[in-house]
Amino acid sequence: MTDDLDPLRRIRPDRVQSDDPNDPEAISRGRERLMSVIDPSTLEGEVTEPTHWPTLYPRLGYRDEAAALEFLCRAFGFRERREARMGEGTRGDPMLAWLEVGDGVVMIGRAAPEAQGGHNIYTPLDVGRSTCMLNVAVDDVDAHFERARAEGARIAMELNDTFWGDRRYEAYDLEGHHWHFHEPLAHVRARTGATGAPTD
Amino acid sequence: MVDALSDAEVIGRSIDSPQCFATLFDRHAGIVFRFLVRRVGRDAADELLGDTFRIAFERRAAFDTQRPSARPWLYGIATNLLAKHRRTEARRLRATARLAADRIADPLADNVAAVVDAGRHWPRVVDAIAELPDAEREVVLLYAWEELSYDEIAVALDVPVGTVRSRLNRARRRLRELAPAGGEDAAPCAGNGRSDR
Repeated sequence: MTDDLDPLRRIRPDRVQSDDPNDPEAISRGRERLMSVIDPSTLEGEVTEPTHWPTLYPRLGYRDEAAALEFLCRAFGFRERREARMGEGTRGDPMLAWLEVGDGVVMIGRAAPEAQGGHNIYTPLDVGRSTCMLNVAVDDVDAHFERARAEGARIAMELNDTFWGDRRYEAYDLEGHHWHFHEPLAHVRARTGATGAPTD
Repeated sequence: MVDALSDAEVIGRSIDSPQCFATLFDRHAGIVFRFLVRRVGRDAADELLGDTFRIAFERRAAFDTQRPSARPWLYGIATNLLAKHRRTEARRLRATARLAADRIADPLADNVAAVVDAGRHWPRVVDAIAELPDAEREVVLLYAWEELSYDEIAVALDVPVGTVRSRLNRARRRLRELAPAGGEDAAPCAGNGRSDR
């Protein structure tokens, strides 16, 4: 659509320069302030824990961050912190989303050079290979593996038991970011009642 | 189960069970925060986000429960709060114009003159926005930046839809006059090699 408001649309500040606003913290503060206004005596003992933000969390770039978000939740069981999301993930409106798994958080956004309002973060689709691996501890790595494979994750390494005491597997997401999922063998044994023999 | 309720139903429940109001925050805080950041930057937005929801909570009994979504109403509260931050807003617009001159690459801007023109063009656009009367600027920014419909803007600003339409028309006209963007002479990045303005 081209009309006389186009210059105005193009100069929307977050289109000129996508802020990396570490926005969830502001959202968390706003929520805490609201909860402090809501009379605590009416809370019936229900206390909202402030959202935990780890000191360190990675940001991954994707060409299609909306598809990545859907896939990571569906295949790997991540949960989006929906209140933190920014942008629609459409062509002109990149999305930033924060996903949590256990006490970990990963942030995903559009892969783009700075000149296009990005942060010079690229996807393995651009680079041709992954440049890091993200390690995730899960509760039931066997079920996690089955789910990921059933949902179409490309398996990089089949389930196996390591000498240092983990059961693990590795998989790629839609754009080739490399994920490693693991569960301590002691936990596997407690869960299955088995002696801990390797599965493969 | 709260997830399945409309905003109006959540607000209705929050009259007796105030903690339900947190659901409304979770649904809309991200959108409201982005709106505030666009207008006044992060620091002011941080403060205004809390104010917006505090005021919404305090006025929740007055919410028109015929309207399923609370979003336009929240935009309206946030818009009122912005009135005290006009200077911050103007500063942010000017800073954005400077960045835009460097960053918005026009596919036609392949020579020096075009780049210089871009450097002049964006300050003109933001001056035009900044000089709009408040009532018109609110409408035009809710429409062009937030992509609200006429109806939603009418709810947000608590004016009739006809008023939204006429303010938007006036704002368009002013923007055309103040920052000519169409036509060959006015095209900022046409790359026609003009060395004068």
